[in-house]
Amino acid sequence: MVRTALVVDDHDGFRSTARRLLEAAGFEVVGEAADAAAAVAHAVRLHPDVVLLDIQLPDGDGFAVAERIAIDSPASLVVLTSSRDRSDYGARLNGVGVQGFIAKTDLSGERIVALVGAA
Amino acid sequence: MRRSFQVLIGAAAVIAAYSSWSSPHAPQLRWILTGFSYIGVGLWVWHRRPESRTGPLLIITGWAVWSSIAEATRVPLFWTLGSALEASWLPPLAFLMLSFPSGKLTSTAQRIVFWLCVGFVAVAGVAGSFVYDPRDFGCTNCQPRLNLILVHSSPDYVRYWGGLVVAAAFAVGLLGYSGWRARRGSRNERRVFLAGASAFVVAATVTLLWTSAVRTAFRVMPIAVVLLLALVVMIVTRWWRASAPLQRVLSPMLFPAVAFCLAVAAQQAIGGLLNLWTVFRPSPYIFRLITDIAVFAAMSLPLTFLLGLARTRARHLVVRDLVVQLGELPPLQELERVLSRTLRDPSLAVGRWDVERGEYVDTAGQPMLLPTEGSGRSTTLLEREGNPLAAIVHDDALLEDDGLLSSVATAARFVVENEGLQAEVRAQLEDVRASRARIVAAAQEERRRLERDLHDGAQQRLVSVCLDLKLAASAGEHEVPPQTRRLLVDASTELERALAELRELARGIHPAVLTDEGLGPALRSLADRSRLPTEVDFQVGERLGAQVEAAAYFVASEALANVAKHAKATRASVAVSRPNGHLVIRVEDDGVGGADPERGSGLRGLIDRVGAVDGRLELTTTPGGGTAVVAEIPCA
Repeated sequence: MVRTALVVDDHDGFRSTARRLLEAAGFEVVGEAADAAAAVAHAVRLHPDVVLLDIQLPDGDGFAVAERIAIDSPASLVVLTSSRDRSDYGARLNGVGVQGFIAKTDLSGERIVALVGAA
Repeated sequence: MRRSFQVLIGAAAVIAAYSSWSSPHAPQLRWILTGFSYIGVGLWVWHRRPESRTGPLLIITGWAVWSSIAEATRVPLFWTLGSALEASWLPPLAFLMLSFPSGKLTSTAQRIVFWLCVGFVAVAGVAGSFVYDPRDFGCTNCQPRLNLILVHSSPDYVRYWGGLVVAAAFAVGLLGYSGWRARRGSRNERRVFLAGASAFVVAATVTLLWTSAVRTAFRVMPIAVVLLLALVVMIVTRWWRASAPLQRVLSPMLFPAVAFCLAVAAQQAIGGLLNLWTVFRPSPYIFRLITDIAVFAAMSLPLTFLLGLARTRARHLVVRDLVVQLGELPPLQELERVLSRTLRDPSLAVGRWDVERGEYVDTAGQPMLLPTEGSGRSTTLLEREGNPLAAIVHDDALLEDDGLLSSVATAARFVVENEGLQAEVRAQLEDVRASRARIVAAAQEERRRLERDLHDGAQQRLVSVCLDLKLAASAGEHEVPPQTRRLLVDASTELERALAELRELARGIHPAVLTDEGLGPALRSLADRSRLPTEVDFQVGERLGAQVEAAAYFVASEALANVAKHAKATRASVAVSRPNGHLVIRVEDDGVGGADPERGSGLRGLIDRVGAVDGRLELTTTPGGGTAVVAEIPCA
């Protein structure tokens, strides 16, 4: 069974790149969201296996979204990403509902698979 | 000049005193000495205080004392003068005792008493002389025509009608004067004046009628006694009611003035009783004692005036202390306290000119009412270049010593002026501090925005490009020729490096973690990225103000950067604690030491940065013993 993914980022260019990366790694991208509200709504509706979630969103941050998803769609694994570095976030990366963190420049199919398992 | 004058007066006094004791003419010599005492002191006071009436009044009194003993010469001209001016010392002396030290009569009662004295002299002395033939009154060895102005020698008849005419003339004059005053004076003053004038007319008439009726010598003793007792009452009440500074000036003259008035009153009363009642024979010893008291009190009075004036002068010495005390820039209350003590005026008040309100405000910040003329209190205004600075409200008595008041006022002006300048400087400093804090806050906000823009804009796009390049490079061999793949890989690797540098740059501009997570996580992130093993000991539980956190963060990042660059250290530590309302951040290393805050702009910038949040930075460094940078930032 093909695993589903939701891409959340306010940047169109990044979303399409991420979609291509995920699809290349064998995921089925079932949805895209540009802000925190849409991310939670899509996750609740689609129950994706993986959510690739940008931390800096126009209407909130990825940590809060991850907590929401952990409650409303507990089966979804949330992978946070950011153009900032891991050290810029400190302990929050170990927060509730977070599967892992990949810096955007390091993003690749292999890194995602390493975090969430094969598609 | 003044000194030789004093020596001269002193020598004359000694000679007079000596001769008065050994001479058969002792009584006259004593009065001569008394005249010297008044004239000498009068000249000196006149010389020192040309603007004061005290000097001239003393001199007039001295001459009047001398003229009153001229009768003893038995030379017709002098005898006539002496007889007419027999009691002429009374008005100037009364004026002196009631007006010292200002030389101005302040109450209506005082004016009435003074004019009654003038009237007494006019009636009893000048007018009486026209009908006074000494041979009618027991001077058997007086030559005829001794009185040059005698118009009628029949005592009863002329005394009776002449006295009435003189009293009426004087009363008309007094009423005329009171009418003239009435046009200017208040209603109450007019009433008192008219009452006083009427009382005088009645008293004079009754006395003249009575004295002639009982065939006593031509002396109007009861009036003299009443006048002298009234003077005593007024002198004592004036002293009793005087403000503290005035009381100090009046105190020396109080006793001799009262003693003199009482003694002369007693003399007159005894004289009157002797004439009235022939059985009354007091012992000559008592009579002599009373006379002695009168003479010595009269003689010492001018000296006590001198002493009173000296008391105002003595305070000049304290002005120097005042300036020293005020040099420490007291607030207004302190200034008021010091001035009040220096000038010995407990009621003294100081008001500061409030430019915005356009009025003087007292130490409590309330509008200050300045005293009106005649209220017994005066205002000395302090100005700078024509602009009001402050007002000192004080007792009128202080005006007597203009020199003292002006020195104190000058000292006070310096203080007020200085205080004004200090306040200005403080206000400016406060402005500068506030604006520095605003500038730093604005700069920080700007950096935060810059970092955010970098992150949201260029960085995002470059990240996408980088990922796309990687994606392209990972495409199948039949899609991408090997050469192109290599170019793609090189490009994406280069772009990754550029992105890493850009991230570092953005973090240097403003660390996002500081805003999002606070100082502790930001410092740990900083330590993680440091090339040296760095320990972080963060002992603060809560978030602090953004400015405080930013300042502390930049202290740590700048200090750690310096350690990495210069210290040749093996390890470093950052410790943050918050003892009593201060955030203390301490960055230490085990390097070579020798850091110099004067060299390089990094530390200087840190000192400024910490200063902008009212903190301070200390650097301790020993060659070979490492370096410690400690910043203390208030964060109550």
